[in-house]
Amino acid sequence: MERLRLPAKLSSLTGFREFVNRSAVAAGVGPQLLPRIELALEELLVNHVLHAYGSGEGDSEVVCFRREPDCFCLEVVDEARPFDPLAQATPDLTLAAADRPIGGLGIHLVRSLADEVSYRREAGKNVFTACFAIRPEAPPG
Amino acid sequence: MQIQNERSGASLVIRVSGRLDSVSTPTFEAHCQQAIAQGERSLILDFRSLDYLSSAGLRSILIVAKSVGAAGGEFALANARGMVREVFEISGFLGIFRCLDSFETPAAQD
Repeated sequence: MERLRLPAKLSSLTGFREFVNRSAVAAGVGPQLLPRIELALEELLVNHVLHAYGSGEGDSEVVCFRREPDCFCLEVVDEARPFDPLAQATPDLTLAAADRPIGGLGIHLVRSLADEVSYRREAGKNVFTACFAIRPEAPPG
Repeated sequence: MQIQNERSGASLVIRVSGRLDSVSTPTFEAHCQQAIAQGERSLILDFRSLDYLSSAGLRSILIVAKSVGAAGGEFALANARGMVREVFEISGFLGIFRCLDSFETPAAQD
């Protein structure tokens, strides 16, 4: 299990992304799954920046681990007030462009791309976990 | 992220390469809004070289589509592939926007 703690700011995204990429590749994640994991990371971190701390200061922590037999898991942790992103309603995807509300798609993407998502409140922390099954990848082309 | 403008008849083709994420999205959005402010009324966003798209990118694409629509113009997405196409599909964008699957600009056909 590896972890990285950085300020909960958009400017930390690159550092977290490099950390998660390294962990994922080391865990056997291939080039087709990698951008999906990166996407989950970005959505969860941005969600935290926007919702968890409001305008206050704080850190985000990202934990990566492999869960046997074949899952790569990502946890995003903060110490802000309780916030369960999974409690958000799924957006209406059928509305015409002019009627679509701006935003609200991030958690929907994470739910759709990850194999498992969960939220828990633990010891004063929000812990959001997304797990991805590592499957054999067809060669590109 | 890199942005390149090309012309195809009356349409401005905006080709976006690399990553459209929370960090690069403001630059992309400003580029498109400037084109609309300069009078462009037909935008085609060409994503053939786009490797990564997050909800921040979706959000700005929707804002740009609404802006060009409010100005009486047209909007299309072109050549989305791989993970980018999957993100459009999951978010319902393939159903609400005109999508061109094998769009080529005149220059690219030479």
